[in-house]
Amino acid sequence: MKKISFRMFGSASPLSKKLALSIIIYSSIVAVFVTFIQLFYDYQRDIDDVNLTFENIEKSYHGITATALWHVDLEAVQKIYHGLEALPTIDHVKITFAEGPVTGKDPPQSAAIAVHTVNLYYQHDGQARYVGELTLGSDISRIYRNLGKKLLLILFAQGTKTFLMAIFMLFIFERLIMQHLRSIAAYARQMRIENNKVLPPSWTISNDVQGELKDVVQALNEMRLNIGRSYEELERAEHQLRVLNASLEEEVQKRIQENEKQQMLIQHSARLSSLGEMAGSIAHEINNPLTIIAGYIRIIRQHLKSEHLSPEKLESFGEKAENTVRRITAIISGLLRLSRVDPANGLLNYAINEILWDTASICREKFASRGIKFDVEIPSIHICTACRPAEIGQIALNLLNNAFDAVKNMPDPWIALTLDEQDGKAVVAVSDSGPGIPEAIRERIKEPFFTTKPYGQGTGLGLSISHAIASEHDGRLYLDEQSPHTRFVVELPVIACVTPIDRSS
Amino acid sequence: MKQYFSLLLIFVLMGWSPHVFGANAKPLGSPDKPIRVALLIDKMDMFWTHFVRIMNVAANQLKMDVQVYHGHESHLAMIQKAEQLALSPDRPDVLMFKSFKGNGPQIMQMAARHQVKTFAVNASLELKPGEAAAWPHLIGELLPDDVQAGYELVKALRAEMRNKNIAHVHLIAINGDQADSPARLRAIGLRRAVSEFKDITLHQVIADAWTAPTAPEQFELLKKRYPMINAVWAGNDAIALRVVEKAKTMDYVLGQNLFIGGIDSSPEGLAAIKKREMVTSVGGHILDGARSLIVLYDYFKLGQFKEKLWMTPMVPVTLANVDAYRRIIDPQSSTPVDFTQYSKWLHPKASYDFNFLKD
Repeated sequence: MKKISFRMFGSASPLSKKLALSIIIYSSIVAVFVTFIQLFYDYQRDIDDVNLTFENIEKSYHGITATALWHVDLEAVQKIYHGLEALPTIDHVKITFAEGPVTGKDPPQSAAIAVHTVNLYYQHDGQARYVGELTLGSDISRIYRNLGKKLLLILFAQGTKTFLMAIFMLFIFERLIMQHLRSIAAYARQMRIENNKVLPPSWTISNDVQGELKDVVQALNEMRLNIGRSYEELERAEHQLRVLNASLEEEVQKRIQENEKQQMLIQHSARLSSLGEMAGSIAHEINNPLTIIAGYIRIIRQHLKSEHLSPEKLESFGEKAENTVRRITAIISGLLRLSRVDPANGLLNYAINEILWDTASICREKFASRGIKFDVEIPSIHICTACRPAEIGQIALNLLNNAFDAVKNMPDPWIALTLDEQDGKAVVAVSDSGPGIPEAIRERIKEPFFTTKPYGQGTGLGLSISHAIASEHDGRLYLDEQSPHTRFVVELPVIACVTPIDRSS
Repeated sequence: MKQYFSLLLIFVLMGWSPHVFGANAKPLGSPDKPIRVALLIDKMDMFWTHFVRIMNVAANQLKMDVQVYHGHESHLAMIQKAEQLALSPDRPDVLMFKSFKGNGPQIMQMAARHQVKTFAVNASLELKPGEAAAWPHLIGELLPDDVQAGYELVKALRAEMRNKNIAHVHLIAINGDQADSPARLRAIGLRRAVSEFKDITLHQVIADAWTAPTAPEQFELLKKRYPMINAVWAGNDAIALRVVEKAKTMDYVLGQNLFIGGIDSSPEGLAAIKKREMVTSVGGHILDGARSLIVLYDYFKLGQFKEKLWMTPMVPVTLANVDAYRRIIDPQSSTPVDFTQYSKWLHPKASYDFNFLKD
């Protein structure tokens, strides 16, 4: 068994010192509090004593003083004066005749002087005659001085008692508690875990540990066993958690990939949806040239049968048919460019002008079929940006589709598509003569699946996808609230074109 | 008038009739040794100074030895001194004493224990009738008629004020030590006179010590309390003279709007009368020391008297008779009174017809 040697005050534990300090502080506070209560009581008693002395003097001396004053017994007045002056609590005495002469002096005008004045009456011929007054003064500061001395004495005695009591308590605490606590602490400190089991120290705690400390030792041993059991359970749980974690990571990766695919499909679907909305006009756009081509072919056939056929006319009709085919080819090329899937990674240095021309081409016929004036202002100088062209075209197509829906039933409808470069940014703006977007829903128009179109006419994904595409290209899409008309603006960062092309021709 | 006053003075100074002597003819004293008398009084003030001075004149004439002791106004000190004298190997033949604050019986008891004769002067022992027989060592008492003194003082003041056409006497009285029997007896005479004369209002009687230490302040204060006062009755000349001094500093014209009288007929009092500062001083007992020695001289020659009490009549000395009286008690007198001629032992045919003016 390990022995914990008893250490006295100098090497007392912090807890013991704290206990001793607490005793000293608490006892001092109580002592000071009680002392001040006692001093206050003493002060009241001393004040009462002074007043009682005044009353007793009044009772005892009224008669003889009044008699001496009445009989003008100056010797007796002097004796009374000196007698009163010799009283321990009386510091000032003044005896005044009604006729004026005074023995003694007035007490000083001070708050520290308690003054008591007795009017003196002498019974003469059945009448109480005023013969003078007796003024007494007691110096209250003497009470303060006495209380001060008493305070010092009490504080000294209480301080000594507190100090001795603290030392005694320190001794008792060290003897009865702290040395056992140290044993318990050493016992706990030497417990160790081996092979998933908590092993106790090789020694045991002294048997003279009793009471609550014995409970602590027992609790410590119980805790040791519980920790062992808990440790084993923890090991098992950790193993299960590792297995579960591995499978969970795999599942999460799988879900993420699925989600990405879904996102791409949604975007592509939305683009195809926009193109689908244009499908009628595209068909019409292609159908018209085809009719023209068919007309030329018919003319050519007729001319082949005619005797007025000239090679120049054939050449002219052929050239026109060929131009018309070229026109169809351009439309289809633009359609293909807009509908193709951009590479997931990497951006192309691409002229926004081209994208907008393609988009405008697709829409032109549709707008014209509804009598909508379509103004396209695209500069001939290419403005390039790093982008996925199909996605940028999708933004423009979405905005133009929305504009179409907004103005198609309006009188004198018009839609404008402009491209500009401002402060290093390509600014694509789609304006229309529609009724505008109510302020109440402006905040919601970018939300996915939010649409003001009738059921079946819109997916509600157009603006949200367009917004996401603009953000992915380090640009932004916003509603120009300063414009008098509905005007959506797409800003994209401009980069130097790799192969500048002038389409002015 | 002068003749009349002389006869009155003799009566006052002797105050007894010849039959009081000679009851017992057995001589008591030694013919070779002088009779030794110790006078024990309370204090040595103005009155007692003259009392002793005149007494010494008589002692020289009668070849008697007189030693004077006083108790510094302490009756206990007097008793202590009486015991010392009685225990002394050279103790006196007679202890003449003044009973002060009622210490007479204790002094007599002390002296009797050591076979010393006693004789009381000036203050009454206040013995009950027949009680004197219980004190065999007591030769007798020679006392002034203090009641009469108090009464005569009021009368003299009133008479003087009536002469000045002052209709009403507003009187205050400043008496001597109330513990002393003469003061009490004089106050009795005062009140008797006040009750007798309706034109006198006694506003208040107060007391001072016989030496009048506070009389001026007392008078000043009573003047404020009773602004109408015009007469002061003083228990002795010392008090009266101190009031005079104080009154002179105030808005009084003595003898015109303030009248002061005392008791003792001391030389100082007579001088004040002469200066019209005092109206009167009632007295006669200032010669009681000399008179007592004649009685004691005859006692030691002739034996115990039948009577043990002799009263000295008290008469007022006013401006009218002050010169005659001053000649008798004047300390500078070149022709002092021959007290031996009044001794029955030396002059068996003496009629005790004391007439000092004749000397």
